[in-house]
Amino acid sequence: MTPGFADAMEAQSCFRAVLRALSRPGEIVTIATGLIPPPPLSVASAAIFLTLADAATSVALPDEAARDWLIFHTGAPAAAAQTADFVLAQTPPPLNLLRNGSDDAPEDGATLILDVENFAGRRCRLTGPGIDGFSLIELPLDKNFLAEWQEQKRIAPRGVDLFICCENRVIGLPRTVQIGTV
Amino acid sequence: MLDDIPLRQNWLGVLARASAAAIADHLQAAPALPAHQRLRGPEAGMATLRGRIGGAGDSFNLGEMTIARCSIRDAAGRIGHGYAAGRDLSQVELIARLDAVLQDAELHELYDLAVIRPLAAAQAATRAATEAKAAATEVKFFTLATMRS
Repeated sequence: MTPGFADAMEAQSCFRAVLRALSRPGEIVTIATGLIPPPPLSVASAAIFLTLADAATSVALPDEAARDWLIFHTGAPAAAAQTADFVLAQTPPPLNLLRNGSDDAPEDGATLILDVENFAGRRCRLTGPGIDGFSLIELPLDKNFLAEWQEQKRIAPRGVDLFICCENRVIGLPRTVQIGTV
Repeated sequence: MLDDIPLRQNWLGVLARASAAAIADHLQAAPALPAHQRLRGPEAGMATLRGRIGGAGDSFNLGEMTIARCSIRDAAGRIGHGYAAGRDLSQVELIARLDAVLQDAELHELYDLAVIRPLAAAQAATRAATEAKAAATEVKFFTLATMRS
């Protein structure tokens, strides 16, 4: 067991980083924190969980030690990936298995937090709100996942939001962003 | 590692009723507590108290009380938790540090003898004194049926 955020300032600066990641999709945002989270959580994914999860949101983590750590610090109830508000994964689960909210309450859609070894992978072209024109980045996402992501456009405003985390860096991909391959 | 829940409830209860100064006083008779790292808190907050009128009544929210809590991990990796009514942060931190060593089978006796038993005895004595004082002013009610017989 390791400590969570040292003080409110740390939580606030992490919230600011998460906000930046979601409002500037595709930008690699560094999260400054001294967290030493239990594996397999990365510093960034642990910080996102500590910042956003509380007793009113459910979390799904495959690893027991990480789940215990998170529940101790946030009081968030554990849930299955199909019903949770925040889902942690190392490889992306099928997006249609996760909650995507309803037309009346699209905010009920789940947030997927993906922990990866590094961001290298497929070259992608991002467009959408928060991006001036387009941006080109590499994302560790496979063809199936990108097809499922494309499907989200059809069910808008419902959908799943995505964070990709590596060590203390995070890329935010809200459901409104279009991911095309180059 | 001691895994005796009633025993742990007992020492946590005794410590929660004792003041930080009293705990620190008794700790002088024991070896210094190991260095520790705070996992959460110490922090003060509110807890809702639930009440129930009679055994069959519906439960309701009676009110809220202030509680302080702290969780620590000491140098040997033992984890301790401290909860107490009020907002004395030094008290709950001491409780958490003691809880960590009291769970250790080898150290338990040492700290139990130096801190828990004297505190429990003092609390029992205070309680007995209060009860004796109350007993002296007790009014015994007799029903008419009793008086007639």
